[in-house]
Amino acid sequence: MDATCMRRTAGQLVSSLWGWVLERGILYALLETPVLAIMGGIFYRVVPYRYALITILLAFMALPFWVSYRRQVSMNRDEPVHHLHRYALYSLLPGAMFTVARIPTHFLWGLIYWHPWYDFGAELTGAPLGQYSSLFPGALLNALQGWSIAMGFYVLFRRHSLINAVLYIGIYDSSLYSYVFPTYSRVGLQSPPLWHAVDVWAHVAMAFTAWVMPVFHSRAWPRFAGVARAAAVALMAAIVLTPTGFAFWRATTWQFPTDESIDQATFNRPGLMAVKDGPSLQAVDLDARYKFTLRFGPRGFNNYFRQARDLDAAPVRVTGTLSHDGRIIAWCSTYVERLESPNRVTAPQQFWPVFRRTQFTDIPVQCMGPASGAADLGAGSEVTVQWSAQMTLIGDRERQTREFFGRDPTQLSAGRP
Amino acid sequence: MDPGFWPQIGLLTLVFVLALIPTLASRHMEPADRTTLIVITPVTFVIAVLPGVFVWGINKDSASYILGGFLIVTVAILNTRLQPRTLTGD
Repeated sequence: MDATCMRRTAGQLVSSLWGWVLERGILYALLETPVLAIMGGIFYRVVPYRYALITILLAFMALPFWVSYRRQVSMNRDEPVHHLHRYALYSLLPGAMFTVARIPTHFLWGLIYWHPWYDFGAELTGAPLGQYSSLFPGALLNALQGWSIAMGFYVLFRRHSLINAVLYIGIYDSSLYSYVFPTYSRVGLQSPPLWHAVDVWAHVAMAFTAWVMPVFHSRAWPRFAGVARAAAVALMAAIVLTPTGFAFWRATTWQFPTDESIDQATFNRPGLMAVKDGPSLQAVDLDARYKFTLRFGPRGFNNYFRQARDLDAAPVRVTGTLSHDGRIIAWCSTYVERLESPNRVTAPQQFWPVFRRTQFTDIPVQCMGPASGAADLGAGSEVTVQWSAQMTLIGDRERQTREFFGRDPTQLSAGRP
Repeated sequence: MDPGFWPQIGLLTLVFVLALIPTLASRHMEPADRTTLIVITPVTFVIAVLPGVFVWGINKDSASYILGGFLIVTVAILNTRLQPRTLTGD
Protein backbone atom coordinates (compact mmCIF):
# COMPACT_ATOMS: atom_id res chain seq x y z
CA MET A 1 0.00 0.00 0.00
CA ASP A 2 1.58 3.27 -1.08
CA ALA A 3 1.57 6.50 0.94
CA THR A 4 -1.28 8.06 -1.05
CA CYS A 5 -3.49 5.05 -0.52
CA MET A 6 -2.68 5.00 3.21
CA ARG A 7 -3.49 8.70 3.51
CA ARG A 8 -6.78 8.15 1.71
CA THR A 9 -7.67 5.20 3.96
CA ALA A 10 -6.77 7.19 7.07
CA GLY A 11 -8.82 10.11 5.79
CA GLN A 12 -11.83 7.86 5.18
CA LEU A 13 -11.47 6.37 8.63
CA VAL A 14 -11.37 9.80 10.31
CA SER A 15 -14.28 11.00 8.20
CA SER A 16 -16.30 7.91 9.06
CA LEU A 17 -15.50 8.25 12.77
CA TRP A 18 -16.42 11.94 12.72
CA GLY A 19 -19.68 11.10 11.00
CA TRP A 20 -20.43 8.51 13.70
CA VAL A 21 -19.66 11.06 16.43
CA LEU A 22 -22.06 13.59 14.89
CA GLU A 23 -24.84 11.12 14.15
CA ARG A 24 -24.71 8.89 17.19
CA GLY A 25 -21.79 9.60 19.53
CA ILE A 26 -22.86 13.02 20.85
CA LEU A 27 -26.50 11.98 21.16
CA TYR A 28 -25.46 8.81 22.98
CA ALA A 29 -23.25 10.78 25.39
CA LEU A 30 -26.07 13.24 26.15
CA LEU A 31 -28.59 10.46 26.76
CA GLU A 32 -26.25 8.37 28.90
CA THR A 33 -25.62 11.11 31.48
CA PRO A 34 -28.01 9.47 34.02
CA VAL A 35 -25.88 6.32 33.88
CA LEU A 36 -22.60 8.25 33.86
CA ALA A 37 -23.78 10.28 36.86
CA ILE A 38 -24.44 7.19 38.92
CA MET A 39 -21.15 5.64 37.84
CA GLY A 40 -19.16 8.75 38.73
CA GLY A 41 -21.21 9.78 41.74
CA ILE A 42 -22.09 6.56 43.57
CA PHE A 43 -19.79 3.84 42.27
CA TYR A 44 -16.48 5.52 41.52
CA ARG A 45 -17.15 8.56 43.75
CA VAL A 46 -15.36 10.95 41.43
CA VAL A 47 -17.76 13.69 42.49
CA PRO A 48 -20.72 13.68 44.91
CA TYR A 49 -23.79 12.26 43.17
CA ARG A 50 -25.86 15.42 43.60
CA TYR A 51 -23.18 17.34 41.66
CA ALA A 52 -22.89 14.58 39.07
CA LEU A 53 -26.62 15.01 38.50
CA ILE A 54 -25.93 18.53 37.24
CA THR A 55 -24.48 16.91 34.12
CA ILE A 56 -27.94 15.37 33.50
CA LEU A 57 -29.59 18.78 33.71
CA LEU A 58 -27.02 20.30 31.36
CA ALA A 59 -27.28 17.37 28.94
CA PHE A 60 -31.08 17.49 28.85
CA MET A 61 -30.94 21.25 28.30
CA ALA A 62 -28.49 20.77 25.42
CA LEU A 63 -30.46 17.87 23.92
CA PRO A 64 -33.25 19.85 22.18
CA PHE A 65 -30.72 22.18 20.57
CA TRP A 66 -28.58 19.31 19.33
CA VAL A 67 -31.59 17.35 18.03
CA SER A 68 -32.95 20.44 16.30
CA TYR A 69 -29.58 21.18 14.69
CA ARG A 70 -29.06 17.62 13.48
CA ARG A 71 -32.58 17.40 12.09
CA GLN A 72 -31.86 20.45 9.99
CA VAL A 73 -28.51 19.32 8.59
CA SER A 74 -28.89 15.53 8.51
CA MET A 75 -29.53 13.91 5.13
CA ASN A 76 -29.43 10.40 6.57
CA ARG A 77 -32.93 9.13 7.43
CA ASP A 78 -31.36 6.39 9.60
CA GLU A 79 -29.86 8.98 11.92
CA PRO A 80 -31.38 8.49 15.41
CA VAL A 81 -32.47 12.14 15.80
CA HIS A 82 -35.23 11.49 13.26
CA HIS A 83 -36.68 8.70 15.40
CA LEU A 84 -35.93 9.97 18.89
CA HIS A 85 -39.56 10.43 19.94
CA ARG A 86 -40.29 6.78 19.14
CA TYR A 87 -37.13 5.60 20.89
CA ALA A 88 -38.08 7.62 23.97
CA LEU A 89 -41.43 5.84 24.06
CA TYR A 90 -39.97 2.39 23.39
CA SER A 91 -37.44 2.87 26.19
CA LEU A 92 -40.05 3.16 28.92
CA LEU A 93 -40.78 -0.56 28.92
CA PRO A 94 -37.33 -2.23 28.84
CA GLY A 95 -36.18 -0.35 31.94
CA ALA A 96 -39.34 -1.43 33.77
CA MET A 97 -38.98 -5.03 32.60
CA PHE A 98 -35.47 -5.12 34.06
CA THR A 99 -37.14 -4.75 37.45
CA VAL A 100 -40.39 -6.65 36.83
CA ALA A 101 -38.30 -9.70 35.86
CA ARG A 102 -36.75 -9.67 39.33
CA ILE A 103 -40.02 -9.64 41.28
CA PRO A 104 -40.28 -13.48 41.30
CA THR A 105 -36.73 -13.68 42.68
CA HIS A 106 -37.89 -11.67 45.69
CA PHE A 107 -40.31 -14.42 46.64
CA LEU A 108 -38.06 -17.29 45.53
CA TRP A 109 -34.75 -16.26 47.06
CA GLY A 110 -35.42 -13.11 49.06
CA LEU A 111 -33.61 -10.80 46.62
CA ILE A 112 -34.62 -7.17 47.03
CA TYR A 113 -34.26 -5.08 43.92
CA TRP A 114 -35.18 -1.76 45.48
CA HIS A 115 -32.48 -1.54 48.14
CA PRO A 116 -30.04 0.38 45.87
CA TRP A 117 -32.84 2.90 45.31
CA TYR A 118 -32.38 4.05 48.90
CA ASP A 119 -28.70 4.74 48.15
CA PHE A 120 -29.58 6.73 45.03
CA GLY A 121 -32.29 8.71 46.81
CA ALA A 122 -30.19 9.33 49.92
CA GLU A 123 -27.22 10.52 47.86
CA LEU A 124 -29.44 12.95 46.00
CA THR A 125 -31.58 14.33 48.82
CA GLY A 126 -29.58 13.58 51.96
CA ALA A 127 -32.65 11.75 53.32
CA PRO A 128 -31.94 8.75 55.59
CA LEU A 129 -31.74 5.25 54.11
CA GLY A 130 -34.70 2.92 54.50
CA GLN A 131 -37.38 5.65 54.40
CA TYR A 132 -39.98 6.69 51.86
CA SER A 133 -38.09 9.99 51.51
CA SER A 134 -35.11 8.16 49.99
CA LEU A 135 -37.12 5.40 48.29
CA PHE A 136 -39.23 7.65 46.07
CA PRO A 137 -36.45 9.79 44.56
CA GLY A 138 -34.39 6.60 44.23
CA ALA A 139 -37.22 4.94 42.28
CA LEU A 140 -37.38 7.91 39.91
CA LEU A 141 -33.61 7.89 39.39
CA ASN A 142 -33.65 4.14 38.79
CA ALA A 143 -36.40 4.52 36.18
CA LEU A 144 -34.37 7.28 34.52
CA GLN A 145 -31.29 5.05 34.41
CA GLY A 146 -33.25 2.16 32.85
CA TRP A 147 -34.74 4.50 30.27
CA SER A 148 -31.29 5.88 29.53
CA ILE A 149 -29.75 2.43 28.97
CA ALA A 150 -32.53 1.48 26.55
CA MET A 151 -32.18 4.82 24.73
CA GLY A 152 -28.47 4.11 24.46
CA PHE A 153 -29.24 0.86 22.67
CA TYR A 154 -31.61 2.49 20.15
CA VAL A 155 -29.19 5.33 19.45
CA LEU A 156 -26.00 3.32 19.33
CA PHE A 157 -27.15 0.57 16.98
CA ARG A 158 -28.37 0.90 13.41
CA ARG A 159 -30.27 -2.34 13.55
CA HIS A 160 -32.31 -3.09 16.65
CA SER A 161 -31.96 -6.82 16.23
CA LEU A 162 -32.21 -9.44 18.95
CA ILE A 163 -28.51 -10.26 18.77
CA ASN A 164 -27.53 -6.60 19.22
CA ALA A 165 -29.96 -6.21 22.13
CA VAL A 166 -28.74 -9.37 23.88
CA LEU A 167 -25.07 -8.54 23.35
CA TYR A 168 -25.36 -4.89 24.40
CA ILE A 169 -27.97 -4.96 27.17
CA GLY A 170 -28.01 -8.64 28.11
CA ILE A 171 -24.27 -9.23 28.24
CA TYR A 172 -22.35 -5.94 28.08
CA ASP A 173 -24.50 -4.06 30.58
CA SER A 174 -24.96 -7.04 32.88
CA SER A 175 -21.20 -7.78 32.90
CA LEU A 176 -20.51 -4.19 33.86
CA TYR A 177 -23.26 -4.38 36.50
CA SER A 178 -21.75 -7.63 37.82
CA TYR A 179 -18.46 -5.81 38.25
CA VAL A 180 -19.39 -2.37 39.58
CA PHE A 181 -22.06 -3.29 42.11
CA PRO A 182 -20.01 -5.79 44.17
CA THR A 183 -16.80 -3.78 43.74
CA TYR A 184 -18.07 -0.28 44.50
CA SER A 185 -21.55 -0.41 45.97
CA ARG A 186 -22.64 -3.58 47.78
CA VAL A 187 -21.22 -2.66 51.18
CA GLY A 188 -21.70 -5.38 53.79
CA LEU A 189 -23.37 -7.69 51.30
CA GLN A 190 -22.35 -11.00 49.83
CA SER A 191 -22.84 -11.28 46.05
CA PRO A 192 -23.23 -15.02 45.46
CA PRO A 193 -23.38 -16.55 41.96
CA LEU A 194 -27.18 -16.53 42.16
CA TRP A 195 -27.20 -12.73 42.54
CA HIS A 196 -25.08 -12.40 39.38
CA ALA A 197 -27.28 -14.85 37.48
CA VAL A 198 -30.40 -12.87 38.43
CA ASP A 199 -28.65 -9.70 37.25
CA VAL A 200 -28.04 -11.29 33.84
CA TRP A 201 -31.59 -12.67 33.69
CA ALA A 202 -33.03 -9.20 34.36
CA HIS A 203 -30.81 -7.59 31.70
CA VAL A 204 -31.76 -10.28 29.20
CA ALA A 205 -35.45 -9.59 29.93
CA MET A 206 -34.70 -5.92 29.30
CA ALA A 207 -32.88 -6.80 26.06
CA PHE A 208 -35.80 -8.87 24.77
CA THR A 209 -38.21 -6.03 25.55
CA ALA A 210 -35.96 -3.52 23.79
CA TRP A 211 -35.99 -5.79 20.75
CA VAL A 212 -39.74 -6.40 20.89
CA MET A 213 -40.79 -2.74 21.17
CA PRO A 214 -39.98 -1.62 17.57
CA VAL A 215 -41.42 -4.89 16.24
CA PHE A 216 -44.60 -4.37 18.25
CA HIS A 217 -44.85 -0.75 17.13
CA SER A 218 -44.42 -1.52 13.43
CA ARG A 219 -46.40 -4.78 13.19
CA ALA A 220 -48.95 -5.13 15.99
CA TRP A 221 -49.84 -1.55 16.90
CA PRO A 222 -51.22 -0.51 13.45
CA ARG A 223 -53.63 -3.47 13.60
CA PHE A 224 -54.99 -2.43 16.99
CA ALA A 225 -57.98 -0.16 17.26
CA GLY A 226 -60.19 1.24 20.00
CA VAL A 227 -60.33 -1.09 22.96
CA ALA A 228 -57.28 -3.09 21.89
CA ARG A 229 -55.16 0.06 21.81
CA ALA A 230 -56.50 1.18 25.17
CA ALA A 231 -55.80 -2.25 26.64
CA ALA A 232 -52.25 -2.25 25.23
CA VAL A 233 -51.59 1.22 26.65
CA ALA A 234 -53.02 0.18 30.03
CA LEU A 235 -50.85 -2.95 30.08
CA MET A 236 -47.72 -0.97 29.23
CA ALA A 237 -48.55 1.65 31.87
CA ALA A 238 -49.03 -1.11 34.42
CA ILE A 239 -45.63 -2.61 33.56
CA VAL A 240 -43.97 0.81 33.87
CA LEU A 241 -45.60 1.49 37.26
CA THR A 242 -45.18 -2.01 38.70
CA PRO A 243 -41.55 -1.71 39.90
CA THR A 244 -42.26 1.37 42.01
CA GLY A 245 -45.68 0.19 43.16
CA PHE A 246 -44.37 -3.21 44.20
CA ALA A 247 -41.40 -1.68 46.02
CA PHE A 248 -43.64 0.68 48.01
CA TRP A 249 -46.08 -2.12 48.82
CA ARG A 250 -43.35 -4.47 50.05
CA ALA A 251 -41.52 -1.69 51.88
CA THR A 252 -44.70 -0.84 53.78
CA THR A 253 -46.03 -4.30 54.47
CA TRP A 254 -42.87 -6.32 54.87
CA GLN A 255 -39.59 -4.38 54.87
CA PHE A 256 -40.29 -1.74 57.50
CA PRO A 257 -41.93 -4.14 60.01
CA THR A 258 -39.15 -6.70 59.46
CA ASP A 259 -36.45 -4.10 59.95
CA GLU A 260 -38.15 -2.71 63.04
CA SER A 261 -38.37 -6.15 64.66
CA ILE A 262 -34.70 -6.83 63.80
CA ASP A 263 -33.75 -3.48 65.37
CA GLN A 264 -35.78 -4.20 68.52
CA ALA A 265 -34.22 -7.65 68.88
CA THR A 266 -30.76 -6.10 68.53
CA PHE A 267 -31.53 -3.32 71.04
CA ASN A 268 -32.71 -5.95 73.54
CA ARG A 269 -29.71 -8.23 73.35
CA PRO A 270 -28.72 -9.30 76.86
CA GLY A 271 -25.45 -7.95 78.20
CA LEU A 272 -25.11 -5.31 75.51
CA MET A 273 -23.06 -3.18 77.88
CA ALA A 274 -20.88 -4.78 80.54
CA VAL A 275 -17.64 -4.24 82.43
CA LYS A 276 -14.81 -5.78 80.45
CA ASP A 277 -11.78 -4.81 82.51
CA GLY A 278 -12.23 -4.00 86.16
CA PRO A 279 -10.74 -0.87 87.68
CA SER A 280 -7.03 -0.35 87.87
CA LEU A 281 -5.13 2.35 89.65
CA GLN A 282 -3.37 4.42 87.02
CA ALA A 283 -1.54 7.08 89.00
CA VAL A 284 -1.49 8.79 92.37
CA ASP A 285 -0.22 12.33 92.80
CA LEU A 286 -2.48 15.16 93.95
CA ASP A 287 -5.40 12.92 92.95
CA ALA A 288 -5.74 9.22 92.42
CA ARG A 289 -6.66 8.22 88.87
CA TYR A 290 -8.33 4.94 88.01
CA LYS A 291 -9.59 3.40 84.82
CA PHE A 292 -12.04 0.66 83.94
CA THR A 293 -13.40 -0.49 80.58
CA LEU A 294 -16.95 -1.08 79.46
CA ARG A 295 -17.60 -3.36 76.54
CA PHE A 296 -20.42 -2.63 74.08
CA GLY A 297 -21.59 -5.51 71.95
CA PRO A 298 -22.11 -7.83 70.22
CA ARG A 299 -22.98 -5.19 67.62
CA GLY A 300 -23.30 -7.07 64.34
CA PHE A 301 -26.65 -7.97 62.82
CA ASN A 302 -28.17 -8.57 59.41
CA ASN A 303 -30.87 -6.20 58.27
CA TYR A 304 -33.93 -7.00 56.15
CA PHE A 305 -31.89 -7.78 53.03
CA ARG A 306 -29.14 -9.65 54.86
CA GLN A 307 -26.76 -6.73 54.75
CA ALA A 308 -24.30 -6.85 57.63
CA ARG A 309 -24.65 -3.80 59.87
CA ASP A 310 -23.36 -2.73 63.26
CA LEU A 311 -25.54 -1.49 66.06
CA ASP A 312 -24.48 2.12 66.49
CA ALA A 313 -24.62 4.24 69.60
CA ALA A 314 -24.17 7.97 69.73
CA PRO A 315 -23.45 9.82 71.89
CA VAL A 316 -22.40 7.64 74.81
CA ARG A 317 -22.26 9.23 78.27
CA VAL A 318 -20.91 7.15 81.12
CA THR A 319 -20.93 8.20 84.76
CA GLY A 320 -20.09 6.13 87.82
CA THR A 321 -18.29 5.70 91.08
CA LEU A 322 -15.69 3.43 92.60
CA SER A 323 -16.21 2.55 96.23
CA HIS A 324 -14.19 0.68 98.80
CA ASP A 325 -15.48 -0.43 102.20
CA GLY A 326 -18.72 1.37 101.56
CA ARG A 327 -17.24 4.78 100.81
CA ILE A 328 -16.77 6.39 97.43
CA ILE A 329 -13.11 6.69 96.48
CA ALA A 330 -13.49 8.03 92.91
CA TRP A 331 -15.98 9.52 90.49
CA CYS A 332 -15.97 8.40 86.90
CA SER A 333 -17.18 9.82 83.62
CA THR A 334 -16.55 9.58 79.93
CA TYR A 335 -18.17 10.86 76.78
CA VAL A 336 -17.94 9.36 73.31
CA GLU A 337 -19.43 11.37 70.49
CA ARG A 338 -19.70 8.41 68.16
CA LEU A 339 -18.43 4.82 68.13
CA GLU A 340 -16.35 3.51 65.28
CA SER A 341 -18.74 1.86 62.86
CA PRO A 342 -18.54 0.06 59.52
CA ASN A 343 -21.97 1.51 58.67
CA ARG A 344 -20.31 4.67 57.38
CA VAL A 345 -17.85 2.77 55.16
CA THR A 346 -18.62 3.33 51.48
CA ALA A 347 -16.15 0.88 49.89
CA PRO A 348 -17.12 -2.81 50.08
CA GLN A 349 -13.48 -3.93 50.47
CA GLN A 350 -13.01 -1.76 53.57
CA PHE A 351 -16.23 -2.88 55.25
CA TRP A 352 -15.40 -6.38 56.51
CA PRO A 353 -12.15 -5.56 58.40
CA VAL A 354 -13.95 -2.73 60.25
CA PHE A 355 -17.02 -4.94 60.83
CA ARG A 356 -14.89 -7.71 62.37
CA ARG A 357 -12.95 -5.22 64.48
CA THR A 358 -16.06 -3.56 65.88
CA GLN A 359 -18.11 -6.58 66.96
CA PHE A 360 -17.28 -5.43 70.47
CA THR A 361 -16.25 -1.87 71.20
CA ASP A 362 -14.31 -1.00 74.32
CA ILE A 363 -15.15 2.25 76.07
CA PRO A 364 -12.45 3.28 78.55
CA VAL A 365 -13.80 5.15 81.57
CA GLN A 366 -11.56 7.46 83.59
CA CYS A 367 -12.13 7.91 87.33
CA MET A 368 -10.64 10.38 89.71
CA GLY A 369 -10.70 10.68 93.49
CA PRO A 370 -8.68 11.97 96.42
CA ALA A 371 -5.22 10.48 96.83
CA SER A 372 -6.11 9.56 100.43
CA GLY A 373 -8.76 7.17 99.08
CA ALA A 374 -6.04 5.11 97.41
CA ALA A 375 -3.79 5.01 100.48
CA ASP A 376 -4.75 1.55 101.64
CA LEU A 377 -5.51 0.05 98.22
CA GLY A 378 -3.40 -2.56 96.51
CA ALA A 379 -3.75 -5.23 93.86
CA GLY A 380 -6.66 -7.42 94.78
CA SER A 381 -8.37 -4.85 97.02
CA GLU A 382 -12.13 -5.18 96.95
CA VAL A 383 -13.80 -2.31 95.08
CA THR A 384 -17.27 -1.83 93.70
CA VAL A 385 -17.83 -0.25 90.32
CA GLN A 386 -21.21 1.39 89.95
CA TRP A 387 -21.89 2.82 86.52
CA SER A 388 -24.58 4.03 84.21
CA ALA A 389 -24.31 4.53 80.45
CA GLN A 390 -26.78 6.64 78.51
CA MET A 391 -26.88 6.48 74.76
CA THR A 392 -29.05 6.54 71.70
CA LEU A 393 -29.00 3.11 70.09
CA ILE A 394 -29.14 3.36 66.31
CA GLY A 395 -30.36 0.37 64.35
CA ASP A 396 -31.00 0.07 60.64
CA ARG A 397 -34.27 1.98 60.89
CA GLU A 398 -35.04 2.65 64.54
CA ARG A 399 -33.43 4.75 67.23
CA GLN A 400 -33.95 4.29 70.93
CA THR A 401 -32.59 6.17 73.93
CA ARG A 402 -31.38 3.69 76.53
CA GLU A 403 -29.67 3.73 79.86
CA PHE A 404 -27.67 0.74 81.07
CA PHE A 405 -26.71 0.23 84.71
CA GLY A 406 -24.22 -1.94 86.49
CA ARG A 407 -22.97 -2.59 89.99
CA ASP A 408 -19.99 -4.91 89.93
CA PRO A 409 -18.06 -5.89 93.05
CA THR A 410 -14.56 -6.67 91.83
CA GLN A 411 -10.92 -6.44 92.70
CA LEU A 412 -8.51 -3.69 91.85
CA SER A 413 -6.27 -5.09 89.14
CA ALA A 414 -3.16 -3.09 89.96
CA GLY A 415 -1.97 -1.39 93.12
CA ARG A 416 -0.25 1.91 93.62
CA PRO A 417 2.03 2.42 90.59
CA MET B 1 -8.30 -17.52 44.73
CA ASP B 2 -11.78 -16.67 45.99
CA PRO B 3 -13.68 -19.94 46.58
CA GLY B 4 -16.68 -18.41 44.80
CA PHE B 5 -14.68 -17.72 41.62
CA TRP B 6 -15.45 -20.81 39.58
CA PRO B 7 -19.09 -21.23 40.69
CA GLN B 8 -19.75 -17.62 39.66
CA ILE B 9 -17.91 -17.84 36.34
CA GLY B 10 -19.48 -21.23 35.60
CA LEU B 11 -23.02 -20.06 36.32
CA LEU B 12 -22.56 -16.83 34.36
CA THR B 13 -21.18 -18.74 31.37
CA LEU B 14 -24.26 -20.95 31.46
CA VAL B 15 -26.67 -18.00 31.73
CA PHE B 16 -24.90 -16.03 28.98
CA VAL B 17 -24.95 -19.04 26.64
CA LEU B 18 -28.65 -19.64 27.35
CA ALA B 19 -29.34 -15.96 26.57
CA LEU B 20 -27.44 -16.25 23.31
CA ILE B 21 -29.28 -19.32 22.02
CA PRO B 22 -32.28 -17.36 20.66
CA THR B 23 -29.90 -15.04 18.83
CA LEU B 24 -28.42 -17.86 16.74
CA ALA B 25 -30.99 -17.17 14.07
CA SER B 26 -30.05 -13.49 13.90
CA ARG B 27 -29.05 -12.09 10.58
CA HIS B 28 -25.64 -10.79 9.56
CA MET B 29 -24.73 -7.83 11.74
CA GLU B 30 -24.33 -4.35 10.33
CA PRO B 31 -20.58 -3.58 10.17
CA ALA B 32 -21.13 -0.41 12.21
CA ASP B 33 -22.95 -2.37 14.92
CA ARG B 34 -20.25 -5.01 15.00
CA THR B 35 -17.58 -2.32 15.31
CA THR B 36 -19.55 -0.66 18.11
CA LEU B 37 -19.67 -3.91 20.10
CA ILE B 38 -16.05 -4.78 19.47
CA VAL B 39 -14.86 -1.28 20.46
CA ILE B 40 -17.14 -0.49 23.38
CA THR B 41 -16.24 -3.65 25.34
CA PRO B 42 -12.45 -3.13 25.66
CA VAL B 43 -12.85 0.65 26.01
CA THR B 44 -15.16 0.12 28.98
CA PHE B 45 -12.73 -2.41 30.39
CA VAL B 46 -9.90 0.12 30.31
CA ILE B 47 -11.97 2.96 31.78
CA ALA B 48 -14.19 1.17 34.29
CA VAL B 49 -12.61 -2.17 35.20
CA LEU B 50 -8.84 -1.89 34.80
CA PRO B 51 -8.34 0.68 37.61
CA GLY B 52 -9.96 -1.79 40.02
CA VAL B 53 -7.86 -4.65 38.64
CA PHE B 54 -4.71 -2.65 39.42
CA VAL B 55 -5.88 -2.21 43.02
CA TRP B 56 -7.47 -5.59 43.83
CA GLY B 57 -6.22 -7.84 41.03
CA ILE B 58 -8.38 -10.12 38.94
CA ASN B 59 -11.21 -11.37 41.11
CA LYS B 60 -14.52 -13.10 40.37
CA ASP B 61 -16.25 -9.81 39.54
CA SER B 62 -13.65 -8.41 37.14
CA ALA B 63 -13.44 -11.92 35.62
CA SER B 64 -17.22 -11.74 35.08
CA TYR B 65 -16.76 -8.59 33.01
CA ILE B 66 -13.90 -10.19 31.07
CA LEU B 67 -16.07 -13.26 30.40
CA GLY B 68 -18.92 -11.09 29.12
CA GLY B 69 -16.55 -9.02 26.99
CA PHE B 70 -14.95 -12.13 25.52
CA LEU B 71 -18.37 -13.54 24.58
CA ILE B 72 -19.48 -10.25 23.00
CA VAL B 73 -16.40 -9.97 20.79
CA THR B 74 -16.47 -13.69 19.91
CA VAL B 75 -20.16 -13.72 19.00
CA ALA B 76 -19.84 -10.49 17.00
CA ILE B 77 -16.97 -11.98 14.97
CA LEU B 78 -18.65 -15.37 14.55
CA ASN B 79 -21.87 -13.70 13.42
CA THR B 80 -19.96 -11.90 10.70
CA ARG B 81 -18.22 -15.08 9.58
CA LEU B 82 -21.09 -17.55 9.82
CA GLN B 83 -24.34 -15.75 9.12
CA PRO B 84 -25.39 -15.09 5.51
CA ARG B 85 -25.26 -11.53 4.26
CA THR B 86 -28.52 -9.66 3.88
CA LEU B 87 -29.91 -8.35 0.62
CA THR B 88 -28.49 -4.92 1.43
CA GLY B 89 -25.03 -6.44 1.38
CA ASP B 90 -24.20 -5.83 5.04
